[in-house]
Amino acid sequence: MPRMPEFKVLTEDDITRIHETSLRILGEVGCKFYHEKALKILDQAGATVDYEQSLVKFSEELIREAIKKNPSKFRCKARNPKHDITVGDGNVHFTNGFGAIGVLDTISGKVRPARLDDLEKFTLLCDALGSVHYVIPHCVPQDVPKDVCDRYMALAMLKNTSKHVALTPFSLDGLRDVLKMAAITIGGEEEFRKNPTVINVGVQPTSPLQYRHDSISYLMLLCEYKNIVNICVGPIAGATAPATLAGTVAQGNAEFLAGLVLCQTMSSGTPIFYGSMATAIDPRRGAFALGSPELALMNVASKQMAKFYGMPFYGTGGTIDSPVPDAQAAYEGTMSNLVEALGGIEVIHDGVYGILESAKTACYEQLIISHEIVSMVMRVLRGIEVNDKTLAFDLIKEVGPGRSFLEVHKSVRFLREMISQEYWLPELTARVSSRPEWEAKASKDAVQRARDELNRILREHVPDPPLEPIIVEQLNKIVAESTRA
Amino acid sequence: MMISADLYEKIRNAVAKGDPEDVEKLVKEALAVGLDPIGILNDGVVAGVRAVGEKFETGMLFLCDLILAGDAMTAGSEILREAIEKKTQGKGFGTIGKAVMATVKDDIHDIGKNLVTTLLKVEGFQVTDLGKDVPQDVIVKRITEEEPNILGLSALLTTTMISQREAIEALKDAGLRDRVRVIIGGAPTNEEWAREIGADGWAPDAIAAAKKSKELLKGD
Repeated sequence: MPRMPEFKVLTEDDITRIHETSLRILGEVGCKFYHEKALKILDQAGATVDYEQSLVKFSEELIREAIKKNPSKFRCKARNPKHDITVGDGNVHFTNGFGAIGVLDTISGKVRPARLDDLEKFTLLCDALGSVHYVIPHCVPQDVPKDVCDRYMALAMLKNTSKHVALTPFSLDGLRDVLKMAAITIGGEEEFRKNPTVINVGVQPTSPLQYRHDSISYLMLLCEYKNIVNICVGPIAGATAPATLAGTVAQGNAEFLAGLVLCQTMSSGTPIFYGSMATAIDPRRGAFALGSPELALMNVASKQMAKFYGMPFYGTGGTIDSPVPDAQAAYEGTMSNLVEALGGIEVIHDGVYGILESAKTACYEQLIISHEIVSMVMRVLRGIEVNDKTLAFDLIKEVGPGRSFLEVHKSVRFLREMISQEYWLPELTARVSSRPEWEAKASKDAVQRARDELNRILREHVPDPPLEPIIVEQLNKIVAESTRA
Repeated sequence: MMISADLYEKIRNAVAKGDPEDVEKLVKEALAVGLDPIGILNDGVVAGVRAVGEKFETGMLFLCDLILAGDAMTAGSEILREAIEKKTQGKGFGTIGKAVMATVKDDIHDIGKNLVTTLLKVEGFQVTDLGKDVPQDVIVKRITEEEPNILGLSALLTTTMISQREAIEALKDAGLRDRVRVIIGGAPTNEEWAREIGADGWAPDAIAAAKKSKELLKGD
């Protein structure tokens, strides 16, 4: 199907000016790398390094070279190849939400700490939901030891999905174990070296303009494997970046480019995602606002920068500030998803959000609602196909003025043929043709219907294929060893 | 027995696929091998639409599937009519009752009414469809002529619901009200409205309407 024209927020001239500003930031202000070895690598590559201040300044040439080395598209492989996705070929993908620490019980209205079994259940739901193209850690369990939590999380996720996963390490040792675990699921270390992209790991610079020691050590290990790295900048306009959206995008862009130079210098051709979770300050409270239109605008702008450099972009959308799965949650989740999908963002991280309260509180029912929103957005993206068949002149002529298309056998057949191409088919949405009938079925609202649906999925769904017991055993061993150590 | 079971299933599948030509062909084949026309109708043609209706009710199949199955049923029934009349010596299909269907005056929305018509046939009714935007005097005239057990009145708009009341009033004026059971339906209607205007029954959708009509028959 022909692709719709992409929605843009920046003109060509805007892109050039942001790029030039980022170059000036990196040339005149610099970026801090709190890692001795990284400073040496950048020094040798030709950057200007102030070891005392851990400050690195970059020439335009160095940046241009790094941009050239980054692949313009790559495959995110999954344990089941039918879930493989290619980023950078113009298609839009979605993940679930990331990193909640609590879970809302919508029946009691109370929030409790997130548990390991919540991560398992959310991952299993994401495995079942067609709008989730790959799965990221939906919550951070509070009932396992903090220092080895990353291994428990990896196990919970690898067990419950055969889709591509992003795993989050909490230490360098944790990352080593997590990579080992991913390798086991695809047949061992050797296979993983050849084919490391079965997971991707996000690494965040700290705005403004710094890379922490642990972030850099993650980058080094990932680059060694040539694993997918997602350098995800997170400036907050008005707080860790200037108040303006343009300034925030330019600063975030500089932060990304600084990390890109380090990675491509260490390991040329490592597949790197240009990632952003740029947000804006809520001027009333000072915290960041995730459901804001500013977030959507900055993500589309950053996507345009990534496209300018010829690399895939990983944005943040579908995010919600509302503390409950209400009307606000629905409009916040819809707004940024729709704007960013129309902007052609390759991966909309958080799209199928399933989290409330600005990333803090996971909500099962919201996950199902967010899925419905994204499936609607995906239909919008397919656009309108225009050709002789879809224009249907002959049928219009045959039915003629005044008759219904439902009373002519041929046009009803045409309807049946065209349903899957032309129509979005709701899974959760109520389309009530009779209010009394809806009332007779307990007058369920979207949250109640979502609850029914998630319980059905949890009852029926198993990953395809399930992880073999022998592999689960090996993964369990790594988790157990890390806990003893 | 094997042949008939196999053919019935083929007919059911052809009806479910909404393919009138295929149904015609198979029905002729079934008659040619000497199968009972009433059996072909009930266990083949009608059972096929019924299966589609059940899946339509749960959202597994679409409106178009039901309409197409209805078209296929009509094609099959046309061929069977003659054979059945011969067999029953002119008593016809052996229907459970007669129904007259109409979308009321000023309302041109007949998708729902057409579905009810199809499903009434599935339930064994002989149905006369008066079409859409049917004036009160036409309804009165046809009730007088046809003497049906059931009159179905459909309205989609809040502005045309009132025609359902007017049709019932017209029946009263003509002295016909106690000669026919009136069932109403349509998106803006409900049980309360049915009571208020003096209808005998109300149904929220086409499938319920066919069931309700059967229930109303028992009251006769």
